[in-house]
Amino acid sequence: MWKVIIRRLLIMIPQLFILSVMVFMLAKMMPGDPFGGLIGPNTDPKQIEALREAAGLNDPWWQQYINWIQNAFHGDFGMSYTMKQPVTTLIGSRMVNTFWLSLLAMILTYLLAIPMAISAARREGSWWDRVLLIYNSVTFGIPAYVVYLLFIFIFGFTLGWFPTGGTVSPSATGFFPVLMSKIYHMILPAVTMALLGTTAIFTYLRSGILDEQGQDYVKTARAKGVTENRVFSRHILRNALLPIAANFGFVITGLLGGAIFAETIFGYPGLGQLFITAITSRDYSVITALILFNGLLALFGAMLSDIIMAIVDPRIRIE
Amino acid sequence: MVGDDLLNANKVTVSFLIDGEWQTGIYDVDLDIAHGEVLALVGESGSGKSTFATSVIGLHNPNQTKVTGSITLDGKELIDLPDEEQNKIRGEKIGMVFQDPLAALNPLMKIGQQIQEALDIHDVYQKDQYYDRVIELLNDVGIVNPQRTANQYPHELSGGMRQRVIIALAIANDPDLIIADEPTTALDTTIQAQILDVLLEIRDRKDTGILLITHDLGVVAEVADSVAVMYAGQIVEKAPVQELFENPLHPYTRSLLRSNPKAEQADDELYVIPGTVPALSEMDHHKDLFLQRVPWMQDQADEDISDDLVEAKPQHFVRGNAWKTFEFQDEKG
Amino acid sequence: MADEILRLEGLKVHYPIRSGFWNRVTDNVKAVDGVDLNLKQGETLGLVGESGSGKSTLGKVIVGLEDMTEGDLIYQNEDLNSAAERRRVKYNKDVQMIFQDSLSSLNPRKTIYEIIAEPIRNFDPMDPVDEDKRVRELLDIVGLPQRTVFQYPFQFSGGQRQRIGIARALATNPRLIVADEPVSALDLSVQAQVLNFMKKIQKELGISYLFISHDLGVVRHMTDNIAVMHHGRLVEKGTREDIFENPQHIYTKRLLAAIPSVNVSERAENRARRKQIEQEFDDRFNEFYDGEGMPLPLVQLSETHYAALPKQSEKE
Repeated sequence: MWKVIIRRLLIMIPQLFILSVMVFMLAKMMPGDPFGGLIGPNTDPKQIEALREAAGLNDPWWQQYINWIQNAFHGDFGMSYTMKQPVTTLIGSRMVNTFWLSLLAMILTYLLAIPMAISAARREGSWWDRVLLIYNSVTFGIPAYVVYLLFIFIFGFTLGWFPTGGTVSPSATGFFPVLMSKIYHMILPAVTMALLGTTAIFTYLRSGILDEQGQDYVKTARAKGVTENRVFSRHILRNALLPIAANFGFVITGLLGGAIFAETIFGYPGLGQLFITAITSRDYSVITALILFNGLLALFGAMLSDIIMAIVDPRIRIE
Repeated sequence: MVGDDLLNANKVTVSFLIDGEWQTGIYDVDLDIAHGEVLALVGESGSGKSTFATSVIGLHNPNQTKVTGSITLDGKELIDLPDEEQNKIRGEKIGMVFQDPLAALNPLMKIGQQIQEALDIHDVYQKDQYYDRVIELLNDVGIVNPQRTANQYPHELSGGMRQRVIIALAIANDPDLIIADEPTTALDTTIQAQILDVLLEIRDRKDTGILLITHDLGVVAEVADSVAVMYAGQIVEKAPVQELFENPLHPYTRSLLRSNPKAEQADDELYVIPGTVPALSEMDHHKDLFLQRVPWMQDQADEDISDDLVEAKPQHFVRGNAWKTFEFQDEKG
Repeated sequence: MADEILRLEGLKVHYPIRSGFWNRVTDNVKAVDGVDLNLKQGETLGLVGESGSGKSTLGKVIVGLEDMTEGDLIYQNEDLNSAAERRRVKYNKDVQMIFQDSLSSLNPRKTIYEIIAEPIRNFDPMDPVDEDKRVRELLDIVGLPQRTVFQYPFQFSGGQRQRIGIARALATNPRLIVADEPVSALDLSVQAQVLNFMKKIQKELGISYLFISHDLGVVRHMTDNIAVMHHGRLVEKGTREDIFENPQHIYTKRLLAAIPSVNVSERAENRARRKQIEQEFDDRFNEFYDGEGMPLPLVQLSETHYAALPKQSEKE
């Protein structure tokens, strides 16, 4: 088991290298440089050139790459020009917001999708199954932002049940009131995201259960005299959950990536919103850092999924 | 060796709900198995032999299947038993062995856990005996290193080993009856012989009755005490094994035996049974359905015959009247 | 003496096993490990052995579904080891395969017409009228009604599907057909039909068969010569009579003893003999197999009969 994990970690070394090179090249291809914005009619081009030289922008590309990687290792991604803050600080504060919102949304998604899938599969072909199938294809099909806008209009502006932006109410003080206020701010975006996010898990699990139900080992279990409930929980469900478990690695790292539409529409200051802001204001250093960050998350997600799979499925474990 | 009656099936009829209509899959089956007896139920795919087994152990889907008649095990009626009682019978009184040993084991559970689950459900063995019993069972089915095997997953075992494990599962609680549905079809000939040996050893030791479902006449001849031949959902012939192979009566049994490749006539053309099995919806179980496939027996094919088999010789039962006059075409004068 | 159509010399198929921390190739699975075999025009050669013996791999190498690691494949006196050479002599047109599982080997979304026409289009394109004629002719040969030509595989019974598989294999007028367990999935009555049919077209068209099966009863019925395979090597080969009447290798004896007999009166003797041979197999395994558990090289016993016997028995 440890061999599998360590080998999987080693595979990540070349992956990380390729990722960093790609992001670096992407950053280089973006038009302009950090000093382009400083150029005014009265600026002396020599002065800019000196700044460039000092910043190492005239070094050969591999030298620049090494510098960039070294800085990245130290958590230095430069300054955001539009927000005049270090990129790391900017991302750090947003990441916490995003993490909690995504975690809540993820928990709600699983809480919704798993019982939906189980109840649909156990009554395959019933009207309830059909309702859930329709629900999941509708939520998958409609553009999410339409629903976000609708919900924020209904529950935020019209009914006034939930706040329409921010992460915490300015009037809240003290640990407990702040916590409650934070949760209160997350509920509407998280619930909406969960309501729209069940399709993948629902579909995988429902069809997984239906497939597993017909397997011979289920017959064996029944022939042993195992009760129907136990057949379901110990045999069918465990096998049907395998693909869900495998997907969990991606889901959990995806938590940090941020939800671009939801955060933007619900006015929730997370990484998703930051990404949109950075793109619209061409804040390249932030964009580069966020792309690198999301790339890292994807690599870690894949690794985590492989490791989870090796833990839950004995057929994948390699001696 | 063969003792008192263990299983009595009386006028068992099974219908399936297909496209909103009930269609008869097996009709009026009478079968008895004694303690310690190996009864082979022989037939081709679609003959209903597996359906019968499923009805005995109650594994059919009750919404789409209707079983009528009577199936008793040691006098206890099994048809329409409530779920809890059904679960007590399964695995404790009746053990089941399936055809495909890899598919029949849960890929995520260790062998030991899977056998232990069978012990855990029933009250035959106590918790502190479980591990010893698992090892004992694996030993009984001829697994050389039971401690190691108990700790392995199904995919780590060979096909023959897996089938031994399935048998160990089936006999975990010392059942009175084992239903083995094509237990050796997926296995190599050398392994097949060993698996059949294991089943017979269990029978000899525990006086277990065995319902052996197979299409392989060789397997029947090697292990069965008596044979029932099934065609289109009905028993067409029933006899002690030697009697059946030496004096087959029903045209279907005779055709089947004749189409089996034989050593003595290796270069001859094999006998081909003409026609095909009728569809479920076209089966009129009051006639001798096999005769529909025999072009030279058409004068008898429409004749209504009795539901009951005729005892043509002592212990040798046959369906209909065609056996009295049937001849293969090349035998006719 | 009929002409030789195919000869295999020292054929090996090895799969690398990777293990250890760096996943290096540490060993090989010797699926096929040095097989010599020849097949004459119009003959049926039976290849028997249990699952994992390498018999299916050997069949796949012959039709080109699997690459050999080493060895020579000589078809009609031409050494055809590369795909280019095979294309040149239209080897793939001449050598076809029939599979065990007729349902999964037929594309479920194609009609019978398309399935049978596909090899014709690949190897022998003709104008649509001729193609249609040829497909219908093939249906006739395998005894399927003309009206089935636009049906799909699932609409047929197992025996009919197997005949569609045969029609597809026959479409290119092959000289050699590799039949891998062609009747194992079929009921007895259907099996008889397919086997008779295979013999009939052999007589009419002069096809050679490599008949791969674990069912020795069927093999005895179908074949002229038999090769017995175990652990990737041949342990015995000879005429049908050599193998069935005078088996020399302990593994061949064991295979034969395991065939269930329909002779009920000799049941007890059969079992006793089988157990005795199983015992002998275990006891004498080291005599007949080398230190790695591989069968010994074949020794010629008569003009037709070869067996992998230890040196002493050779002298005896």
